[in-house]
Amino acid sequence: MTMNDARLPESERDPELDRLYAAAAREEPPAALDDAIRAAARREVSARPRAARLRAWYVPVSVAAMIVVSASLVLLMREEGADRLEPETFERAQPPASAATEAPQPAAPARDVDAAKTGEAPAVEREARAVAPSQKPAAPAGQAPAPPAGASQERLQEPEAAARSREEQAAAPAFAPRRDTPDRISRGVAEDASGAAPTVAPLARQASRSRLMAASPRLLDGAVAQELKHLASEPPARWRERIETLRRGGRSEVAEVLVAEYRRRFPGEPVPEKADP
Amino acid sequence: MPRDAEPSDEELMSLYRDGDAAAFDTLYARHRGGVYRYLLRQCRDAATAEELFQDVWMNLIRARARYTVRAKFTTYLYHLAHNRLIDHFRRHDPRVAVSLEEEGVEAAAVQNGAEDPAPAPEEALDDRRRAARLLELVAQLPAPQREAFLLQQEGGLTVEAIARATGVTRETAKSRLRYAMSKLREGMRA
Repeated sequence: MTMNDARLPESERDPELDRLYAAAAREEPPAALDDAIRAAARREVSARPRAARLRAWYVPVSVAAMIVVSASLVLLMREEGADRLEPETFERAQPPASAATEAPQPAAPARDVDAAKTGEAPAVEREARAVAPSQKPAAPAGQAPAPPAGASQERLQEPEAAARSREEQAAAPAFAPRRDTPDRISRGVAEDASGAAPTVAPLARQASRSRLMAASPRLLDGAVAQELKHLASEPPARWRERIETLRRGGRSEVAEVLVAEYRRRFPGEPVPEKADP
Repeated sequence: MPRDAEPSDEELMSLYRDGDAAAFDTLYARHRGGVYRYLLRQCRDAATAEELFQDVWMNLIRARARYTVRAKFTTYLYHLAHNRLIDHFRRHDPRVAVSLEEEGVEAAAVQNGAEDPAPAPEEALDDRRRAARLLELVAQLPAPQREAFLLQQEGGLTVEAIARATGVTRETAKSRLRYAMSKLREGMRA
């Protein structure tokens, strides 16, 4: 062998070698082997047609699933993010304690609407109004109804009350409020007020009441939870009695939350009606 | 029927991957002889060649779902055959397996020199005898050079495709092929 041989152009194919090799190379695999391989190839195709079809859907289905999961996560995180903002947002929405006790409730529904739109009215007041505007007629202008003193006092003790509330929630599992943000509550009230004031539709009233109830641990501090703890195993009559007592004592916000819970627990029982002032 | 009008090997394999068993039959008919002879010339035993041949095609069948067109189908097919051959030689003749896997051309040349028998000159060989002589010379080639030659003859592979199928550099494949052809020419002239 010489180096010249090794430097032959790579494209060169020796026609004589090709011809001779083609003439010589005639061996073929046995027919039985051919049949076995072809049969195996057919078996493989028929054994996995469904898998192949499914494989065609893997990518689009996976992408769709990812989009759904991602969207759900984003929505969930957004909601949880709003809840985390709740304390400071709530603080901003809260009026001073003195305002809660001293400021008269707005008398006219029109004012209510304006206040809700502008966000001037305290959140608690707006919620209270949204609970039962038809049950509780608006007070005449200039006449201040009994302020929810208990609620505002308890609001001042919020850290302690919140801890108590957590314990009481654990003690009363039937009452599991959803933690709405004050922002959302305000928005709900504004919608109620702008949509149906002065006579709020029953459905909207119910929704508003639910929101209030959901927010009650913060709005009414530990008072509601305390009441629920005492009433947890009591019969409906005892509930009605306690609600009346609370109303007479001027703690109408707590009473209304209890009424909502009473309705939920005892749907067949008569609902304690609110006495006229 | 001109070959241009027929589906390419890659198209047939893609059809088979998607469930067309008839496409496999066509593909198999095209390449069964070449793959079988490639294996037979390398292992030099019909029974072993048949076993390896079946394994190669079964591997192809099992891997059909993962097939994507990245190179010529013949490169892919003979790469499977080459790998199966290496596995076989690792068990039965590690020396040959090493020679097929290693890159060096010089080693092959040395081996070539050691194995190169003195050609038996005959004055008038008819085609049949000359063809038989060629097969003898092919059998006497070092395994890497023989493989390169067989891939060119049976698979129709280019130097680049031979390099890809055997996992060596283009230069190595080129040198192996040159040495093989050179040696065969010399042997036939002798």
